Amino acid sequence: MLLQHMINGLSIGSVYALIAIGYNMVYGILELLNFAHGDVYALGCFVVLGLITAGINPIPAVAAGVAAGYLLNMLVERFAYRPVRFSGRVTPTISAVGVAYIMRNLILKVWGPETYPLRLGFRGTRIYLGGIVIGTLQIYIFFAAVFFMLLITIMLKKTKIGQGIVAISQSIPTAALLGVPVNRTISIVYGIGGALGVIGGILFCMYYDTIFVGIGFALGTIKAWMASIIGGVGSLKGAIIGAMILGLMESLVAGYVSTLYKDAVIWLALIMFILIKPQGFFPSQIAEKI
Amino acid sequence: MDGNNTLLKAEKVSRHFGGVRALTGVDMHVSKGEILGVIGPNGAGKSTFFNVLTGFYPPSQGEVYFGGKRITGRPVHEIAEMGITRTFQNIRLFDKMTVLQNMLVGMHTQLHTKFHQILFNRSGNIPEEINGQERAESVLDAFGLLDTARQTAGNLPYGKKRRLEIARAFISNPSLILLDEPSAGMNPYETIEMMEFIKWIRDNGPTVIVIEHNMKLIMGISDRVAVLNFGEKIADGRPAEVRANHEVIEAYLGKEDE
Amino acid sequence: MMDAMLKNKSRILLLAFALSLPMIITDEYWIRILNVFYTYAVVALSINLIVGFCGQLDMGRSAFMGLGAYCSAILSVKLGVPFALAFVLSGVFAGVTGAVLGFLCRKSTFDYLTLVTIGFNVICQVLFLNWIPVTGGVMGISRVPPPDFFGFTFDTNTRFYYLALAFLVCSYAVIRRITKSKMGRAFEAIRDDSVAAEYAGINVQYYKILNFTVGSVFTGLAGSLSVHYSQYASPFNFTLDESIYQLQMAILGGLGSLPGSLVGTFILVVFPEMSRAFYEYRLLFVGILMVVMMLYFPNGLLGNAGVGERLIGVRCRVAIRRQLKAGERNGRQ
Repeated sequence: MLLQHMINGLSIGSVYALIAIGYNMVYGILELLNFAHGDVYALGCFVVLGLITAGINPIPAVAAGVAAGYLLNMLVERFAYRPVRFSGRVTPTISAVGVAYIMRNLILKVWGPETYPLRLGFRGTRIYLGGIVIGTLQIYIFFAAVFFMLLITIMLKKTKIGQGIVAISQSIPTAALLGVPVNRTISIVYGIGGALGVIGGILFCMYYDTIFVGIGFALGTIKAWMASIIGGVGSLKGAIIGAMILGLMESLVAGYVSTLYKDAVIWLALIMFILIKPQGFFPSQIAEKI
Repeated sequence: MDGNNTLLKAEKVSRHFGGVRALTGVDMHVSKGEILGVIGPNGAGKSTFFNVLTGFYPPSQGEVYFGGKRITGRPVHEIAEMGITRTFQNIRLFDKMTVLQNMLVGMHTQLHTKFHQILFNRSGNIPEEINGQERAESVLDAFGLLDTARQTAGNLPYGKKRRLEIARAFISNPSLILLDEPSAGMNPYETIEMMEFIKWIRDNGPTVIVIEHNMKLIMGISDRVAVLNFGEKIADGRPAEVRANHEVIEAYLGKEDE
Repeated sequence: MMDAMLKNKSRILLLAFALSLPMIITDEYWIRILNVFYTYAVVALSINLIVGFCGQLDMGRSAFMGLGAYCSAILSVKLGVPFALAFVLSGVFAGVTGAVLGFLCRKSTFDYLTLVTIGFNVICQVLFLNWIPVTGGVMGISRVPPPDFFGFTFDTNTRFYYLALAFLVCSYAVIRRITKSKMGRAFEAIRDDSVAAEYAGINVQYYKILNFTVGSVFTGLAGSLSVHYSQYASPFNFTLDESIYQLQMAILGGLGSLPGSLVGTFILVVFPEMSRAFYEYRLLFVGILMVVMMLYFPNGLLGNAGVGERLIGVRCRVAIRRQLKAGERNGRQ
């Protein structure tokens, strides 16, 4: 049983990891709790739903959804965040909250609060190993997450854009002076975050065969926060490991404690985590300068 | 070193951040009524030193004594209450509050309004508040800022912001004021004004330690000068002595700020 | 000064107007709306105190309203505690919880505090929904008695109106005194620059906790009053969405402006009632409002250089200046 829970935990953790990567890349740069992360890519996922319902083949539909997520997040950054980038902490956070509500309510107005089935034509089989069940879907999700993690890590280390992102995450003015195209780079980061979010969201929906408006905030934004708390914000490695640990925690709590109180228990654990080890497991080493 | 006259003493203060040794074994003292100048190339650890002295972070090694009492590792607000205030390299004002309110906050440790007074008396009727306001206005006047009293601090021009920050540090009657690059961003005329202010401050109460890059200012007003380089103190003495010191000259390699 | 006298006169006028409303308005429906407005206005004021004056971004305030509400409901329904005592104890309970939470978060950074408040809101909601023996679960707690002071029961809309108005006026007065005092200045200093505040001798951790506690007392009291009015404690009134909506009441009016909180609450409570369309789309509207306001009017309607000042203030100031200049000229002659 334990092993089963752990496998399930790692699966869901992989999904969280994908979403957390996109989230952390942005947070690492701008240090803003992007309240709208989940809700924006949720809209992308619903675009996929809409296209599939209209009869379009799943693969191009998903591709379109990912592109939609990329574009949408870029647009949100350009028009709702960039103007207030240097206006303190409260203002950009509230703006993000506003965006979240706009996205969420757009979805509600068009699709409503109902849960829809999401069939992408991929059924997958089950593998029985001893007493545990592993779905091939779970394996694919896990490897998809690993694949993207590696992709992003390589991008950050080897490509010019990636280095630009790292530079910006340490100091925007310095990066600008060194010739990094700040605005364009930030746009791309948000775009990637949105795209990864849609991918993660679609994988989540495939896992549960359903899609509903709540996958945005509850899944994307909150889980990303939770993963960041555990793993340490601004650290890619931390986001991934944090997400995995989160998935495991959820699976174990749901299995052994209670599904009703699962959210409360997780939050309680996280709050204690914040209070005891606020920097997470992989904190950044930079001291505050005054 | 007259033991009875020593106001602040730093003993073998070291501070490192991870692998970076920002300060190593720094001994420094300042006597009552002195103006001590602290200079050194960028990154020498001057601001770090201030931060350690004032409790922003504790030293990794070493001790700090104020008026004979050990203050190493005490929290910032306690040290402030004991009578040490400071200004910052990048001005830290309460931008959304008025100039007058900034001064009243500066007097926080001097005002002792009780909660029941807040509840039951209009602030116009609490004697502490009235006295506080009067004192704030008179200090603003001394600093030439009285006409800006009701303006929002964030809207002031740069020079006045610097002055306000110093005025705010001054108003609580501290025994020691630490000024961190007070003339940064100022033209020569403003710098001369600043020199006069600093002397005026010392003559009207507190002992002063100044971090500066501007040699003219430092040599012009300091009674003593200490030089930091790569986190170590390499010289300490009268301005003329320090100016002639070989190590100091090397550290700057002729990059003297005019 | 002319300024202060004018303010006092307008306050008295406003109060007189408010006192007379129940006699003017015949439709009970609108009295009810105003009652809700008065209660939520205090919540908005408490949010303003915490978020606007001290810069602590609390996104889970409705949890504290819920704590006050459930505390009061449980005390009066299950333990037969009289209203006055239940009311006070609810405020104390919310305040103590605020103090504990504030203490635990005293060293937390801005973002972590926000996350903790969100998490706390979720935890409270889960408890409200599932801890059936205590909170009644989904069914909540019903038959909460109306407010009762020494035998006089506020069981009609009109009677409650005066109680709610008195509650708002008293809360406003106290909060206003606090913001104009040394405590209020300490809060604002922490908001503007907590490092400089610490260096001015302010024990930042202590004041943050104090701020959270005082704000939570008011939120809890408002929760208690609201539940004795609706006579029912429901777990669906204290969700994260509710918290955001309440936050927006304070933001709309202008963080840092107490009259602004009244205006913001009024708009967000009354408008949805006036327009079906507004009600249905209210969350979408709030979302758009938030973005637009942050981009163009970050100080809200009545804050510094807010919408109000820009539209009205400039004209007023110009007019007053003209008056004064005219007066001067006449005087010289």
